[in-house]
Amino acid sequence: MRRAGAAWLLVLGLASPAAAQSMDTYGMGSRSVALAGAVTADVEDPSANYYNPAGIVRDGQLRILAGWFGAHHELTLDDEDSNVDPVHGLVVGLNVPGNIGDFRFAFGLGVHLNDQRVSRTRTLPRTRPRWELYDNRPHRAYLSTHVAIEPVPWLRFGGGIGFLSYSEVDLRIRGTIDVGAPERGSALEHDVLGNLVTIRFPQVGVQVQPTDWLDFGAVYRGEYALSSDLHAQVGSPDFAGDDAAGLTVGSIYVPAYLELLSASTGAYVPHQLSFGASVRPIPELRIGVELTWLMWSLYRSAIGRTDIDFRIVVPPELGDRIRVPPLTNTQPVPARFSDRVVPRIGVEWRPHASPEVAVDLRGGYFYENSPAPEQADAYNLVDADRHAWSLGAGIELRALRPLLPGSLRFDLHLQYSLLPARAMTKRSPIDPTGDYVAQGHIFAGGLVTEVRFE
Amino acid sequence: MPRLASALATCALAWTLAPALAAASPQDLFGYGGRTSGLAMTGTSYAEGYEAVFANPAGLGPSRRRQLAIGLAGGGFDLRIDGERAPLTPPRGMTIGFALPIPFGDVLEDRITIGGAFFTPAEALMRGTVRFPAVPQWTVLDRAQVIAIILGLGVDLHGLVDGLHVGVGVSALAQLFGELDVRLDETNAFSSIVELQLVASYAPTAGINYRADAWGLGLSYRHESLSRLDLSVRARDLPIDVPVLNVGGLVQYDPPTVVLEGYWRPIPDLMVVLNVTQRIWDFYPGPQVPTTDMGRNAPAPELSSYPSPRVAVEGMVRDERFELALRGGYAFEPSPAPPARLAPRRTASGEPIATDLVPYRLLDNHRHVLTAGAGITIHVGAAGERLVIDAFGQLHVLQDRTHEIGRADAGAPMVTSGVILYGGWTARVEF
Repeated sequence: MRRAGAAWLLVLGLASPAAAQSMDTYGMGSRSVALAGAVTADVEDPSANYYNPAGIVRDGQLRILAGWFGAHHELTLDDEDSNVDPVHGLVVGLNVPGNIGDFRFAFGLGVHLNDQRVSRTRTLPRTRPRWELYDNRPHRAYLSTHVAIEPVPWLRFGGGIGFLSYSEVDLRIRGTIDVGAPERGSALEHDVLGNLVTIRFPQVGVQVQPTDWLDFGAVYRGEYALSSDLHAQVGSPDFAGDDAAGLTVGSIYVPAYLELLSASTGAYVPHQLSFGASVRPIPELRIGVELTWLMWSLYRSAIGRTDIDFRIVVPPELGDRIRVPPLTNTQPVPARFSDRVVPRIGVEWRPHASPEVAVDLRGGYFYENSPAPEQADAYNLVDADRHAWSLGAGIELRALRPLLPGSLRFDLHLQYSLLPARAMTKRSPIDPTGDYVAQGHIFAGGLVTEVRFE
Repeated sequence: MPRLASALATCALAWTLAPALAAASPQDLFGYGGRTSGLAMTGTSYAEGYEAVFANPAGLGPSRRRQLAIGLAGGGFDLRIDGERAPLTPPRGMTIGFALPIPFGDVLEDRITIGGAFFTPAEALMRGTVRFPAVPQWTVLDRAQVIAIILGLGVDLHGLVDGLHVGVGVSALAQLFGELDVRLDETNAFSSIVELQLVASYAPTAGINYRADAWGLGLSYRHESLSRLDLSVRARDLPIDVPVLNVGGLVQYDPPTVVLEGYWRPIPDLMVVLNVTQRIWDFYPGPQVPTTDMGRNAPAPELSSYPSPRVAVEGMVRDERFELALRGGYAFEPSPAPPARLAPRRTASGEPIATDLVPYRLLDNHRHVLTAGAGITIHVGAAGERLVIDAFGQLHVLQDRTHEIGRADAGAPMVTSGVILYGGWTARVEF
């Protein structure tokens, strides 16, 4: 009882900081990506930290994984390159099993860290076309930790709580801008209060293994949206006090005040529910199939709300030099995305196995229908369907004792994605963007090495 | 002007779009883990397992069992200026740690252990604050709302020098760099392009310790860790020229720290610890940056370095299945900050301008820290598995300090004082 209590304490207490967009688009690890992600039923390497945390307790072996991943985009609008940046970085994973008496448990760690940055955001003008699912979402780090238990030999549970944050920023600027000598004569200072406020989302999974050759699995990943709230004040609303701001034109002081409230969503990952099965009709052959339901219909908007209050007292003699343009508030534009169901299939064949070495060959395919509607209005959240084919191979070296009581694996994968042409026809004949056709290709690959201790 | 203001606002908004990993300060203020925090934030010589990842990664070297720990910690600030309470968000968060001996064989057997130490604040993963210089600000204490991510590797040099261990580690931080370009678009409407990058930065740690039967010594070094917010705003096509605006500053800072520590066990169940912690604050540049390239900066913070002495005692009572540990300690944390004062602004290149004196209310006090703790170890498995529960409490008493200026520009010199209570627990399984 004490043993079970200790293990449940771990299960209930552990949590996982995470940010998961690159995993959703390109997968994690090499074997699992080569199998098109159809691994929820039987994944057991450290990529289980993304695909199904129940798998980290599956084989009871300490596993350490490290590798490199990269993806190159060739996405175009009317055959002009959209300059969607490549993504590449390190992949690290860890499965640590343990026993207290007969009670089996494990904890795991999964990390994807881009080479050049932890994350990147790019905010474009509201009407400029952007590849909503590929432009910014992959440019984030991924970090997750999980715990799993195996109460009986055919049943495993795993899970954790994800951590992300949304931001609240209060910015104040005061002082003066010298219109005659803006660099030398301006006297400004600023005060920034910024909070990255914690949000949490769950990831839980289960694996059921009724026989040696048949596995089932299910996993749920929670929704999260990285919203951003900003309150900015420049100057003082009554144009007085220490926080006042304004312009100086010669000896003339022009008091001004601006208050801005803004709220938007910087990144969104929908609720996801995956069901998978794998079968081994012969020991050398594994076939996995899977369906993933992504609830994109709950995505509210990528275009946020902005409220502006601007006041300036322009003296008549400066009426020609300082003209106030019209400022309009904006409201969120519904994204009107739809749910999608993603089918996946992956096949693995082991043509050679001996006490010294084993070789695996893999292939997979999945299809993602686009959740984005046709962009007929002024805004352009571009997306297209995606067909992804993958190939992979692995070699396992098994005779490395006494230094390594286990095995050393090397896995390689290549993935090609085709985004077939999708025409966007505008309702308005004077739309500033006009009609266009979106399409493209994505090339991805990776190399992973894994040390496994028996 | 509206475009300028909107540009600034958009720039700040852009910062908010980047989720952050960030700096590492709760453990610098209160220690890390359930045991060492009850022992006056010591541990460089004796800490083991996940606690060693922060205290001294060399302490990972002798680990032989896998270790997984969770815990909660939190506290409250009662800081006062002229007797009135100064609001400061109390730290609360979750501790997660692990230690993993790598089971190589042959010459690497019982040689290498890796570990991780994480602290996730309950409310804000990071709080970045850059205040106007005249605003009272607790720069040293207001650093407790930030996530900590630390990894370490320890090596046991048994066979070469029995009892000697070395270790290295790294704490991960994030810095934000960005640009905002504001211009008129083809429809003569305001538009902006924002690109922000959250870049990882790393602060290395290194340590060494030697453990004999009844005594041990440890030495560790943690490099400075800092997090900057650095955004440039450029506005073009406006009816007036607007300077390039720099918004942000140094939002998180832990100074370089050297720790020397020893412990002695006069009897097997009693441990006495002596520790000297030297934080090198001399290089702290202050949180503010000039808002324009040629603008004036806030005064220099002029922080100084003083050693912090610490002493702690741990006693044990044991039987076959249980162990009970009682702990206590004291630390003196001298303030590195000068009193709030009138100080000269600086040019953008850092030269003081003697004719431009402004109030600079960077507040800090000497602290006397009393700690206490207890730990229960339960042997739960036939193979030596253990469940260990540690709890601790800390009382930080801020020594009264009279500053050179008052809270208001015309007021009498202000007096700062206060109390901090902090406590927590951890539970870990060793298997």
